[in-house]
Amino acid sequence: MVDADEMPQPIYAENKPCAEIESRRHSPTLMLAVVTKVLDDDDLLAEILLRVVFPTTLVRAALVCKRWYHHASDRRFLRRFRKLHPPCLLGFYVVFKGARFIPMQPQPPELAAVVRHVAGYRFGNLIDLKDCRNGIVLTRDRKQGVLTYKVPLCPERGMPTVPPLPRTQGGSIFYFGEILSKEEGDGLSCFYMVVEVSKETKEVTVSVYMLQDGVWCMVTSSKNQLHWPLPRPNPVLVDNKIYMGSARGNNILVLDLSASTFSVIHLPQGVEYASSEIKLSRTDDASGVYLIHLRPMEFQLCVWLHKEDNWLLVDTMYLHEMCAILGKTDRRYVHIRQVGDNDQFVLLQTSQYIFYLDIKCRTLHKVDEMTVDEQCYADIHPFMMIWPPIFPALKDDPARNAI
Amino acid sequence: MATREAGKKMIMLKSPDGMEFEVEEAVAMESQTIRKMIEDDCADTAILIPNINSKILSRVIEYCNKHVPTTGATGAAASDTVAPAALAEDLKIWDAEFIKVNRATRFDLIQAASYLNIKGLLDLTSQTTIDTISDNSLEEIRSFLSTKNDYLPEEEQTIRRENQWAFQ
Repeated sequence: MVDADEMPQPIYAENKPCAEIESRRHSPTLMLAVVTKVLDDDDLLAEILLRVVFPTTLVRAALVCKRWYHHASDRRFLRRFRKLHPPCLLGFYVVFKGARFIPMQPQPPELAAVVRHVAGYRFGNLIDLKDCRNGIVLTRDRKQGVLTYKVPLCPERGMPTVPPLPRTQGGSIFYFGEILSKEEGDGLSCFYMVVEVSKETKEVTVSVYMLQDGVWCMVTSSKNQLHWPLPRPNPVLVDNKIYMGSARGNNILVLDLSASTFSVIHLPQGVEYASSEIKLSRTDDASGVYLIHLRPMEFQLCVWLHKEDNWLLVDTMYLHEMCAILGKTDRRYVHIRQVGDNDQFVLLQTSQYIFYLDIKCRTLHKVDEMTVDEQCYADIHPFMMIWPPIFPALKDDPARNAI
Repeated sequence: MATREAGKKMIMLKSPDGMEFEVEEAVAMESQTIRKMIEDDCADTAILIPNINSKILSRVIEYCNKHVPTTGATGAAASDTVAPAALAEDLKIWDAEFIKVNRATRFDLIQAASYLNIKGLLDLTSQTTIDTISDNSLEEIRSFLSTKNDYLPEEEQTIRRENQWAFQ
């Protein structure tokens, strides 16, 4: 029953001058008038829809009628919605022989079914996950090397085909390659960054390709003798810049895709690659980059934000709780396995255990125990809620189709 | 009705049905609309709040009274003794009681919160409407709104297919 929230009794009657009005039951007609007065107001309807929190609820609300659909599918509205309710972590994949899904618990009731659905999805064996963003996974089968997009929450959704990755240029040795992606418009943009070293000159070339209409198109190819990326540079793509660990000094190498230029950011004072674990995390508003710095022996984790040429220490946490949770007194080594966008969370590993650290809430949970093989070889990929919903153009709607 | 306290600037809010409410300026400034009026010096001795009747206005003031950040001597004392988390929890419980009103009042409050630009109140009042959207079937929501389903069957089918994760 929609009307279950009817409460004729005022709660603060004794304090209110006109409380008696509240206890009066409204006639259905009057009630409807009040409701429609609010929901017929486009601004108010948008404000209400903005607060539905979960994309599942937003899509269901969009089906009420076309007017609601237009609000829910409006680009500006979706941008506001995304900012207020960034996609949440549904779980993560531990990829060894196959991909094992570990759901994050507890989930709000609105997402419980969604998580169950992901848990029931099978990728098949012998695949690697090359990218995992907004509910969309790019897989690569280990035998053929074929890249395929999969959408576990919407297996029937048509996804673009991905051609084989560009080959290494003649006379060069492959040094490092990684798929990067970012949200753009209604979907994702996919990039491939490859680092090659010239056999002859030892010059390093960093090339970046973008997937456009089924073809890898070169965005930039920049030579650099001064700066080498680390062997595993953990690159992150923020707006049109790729940040990665630099092999020379305690620096972050920044490749500007639009200008095809390199620049360098020094790590914050007291932070160095030796005896540390360092990972970068994207800012949601593309204003800079987070740096997660872990001192494994001290169990100390610091979060830094680089913005407008300055480092700001955002947070410092100690992870001694890990030992308490494991019930062991001996100190172990702890690794950062993955970091969430926008400094949301960190997945940590100590021995065979995976821990989830919610940075904003400062809570730490043990979420998985891996097998011995997984402990040594498995990749870990966070799986986020699908975003944005697909809002197809409606047939009899010239106004929208014209946009 | 608010009582005058020494050293606190009071302002008068008037509803269109002729009721007057004397409130602390800080309380009234929980409303960004009123804040702007005060800051732009548009507020004289009394501010007329159009479209919001005294019943709703009194509840809005009640909300703002509870949510105004405590400052000065009393504020310092409060924050010394009560942890911020406990205060937030207290506010949450208070909000939950506050919003136990009939639907018409709730929608009046949404409208008032929007006009007066009080984000917290708009969040709170909208949330209960959203629960209606979340907890009921489409047909129930449509009948609640007296809205007709104006989708072609194939259109609705396409949206459901493209976003099947939302309907599991």
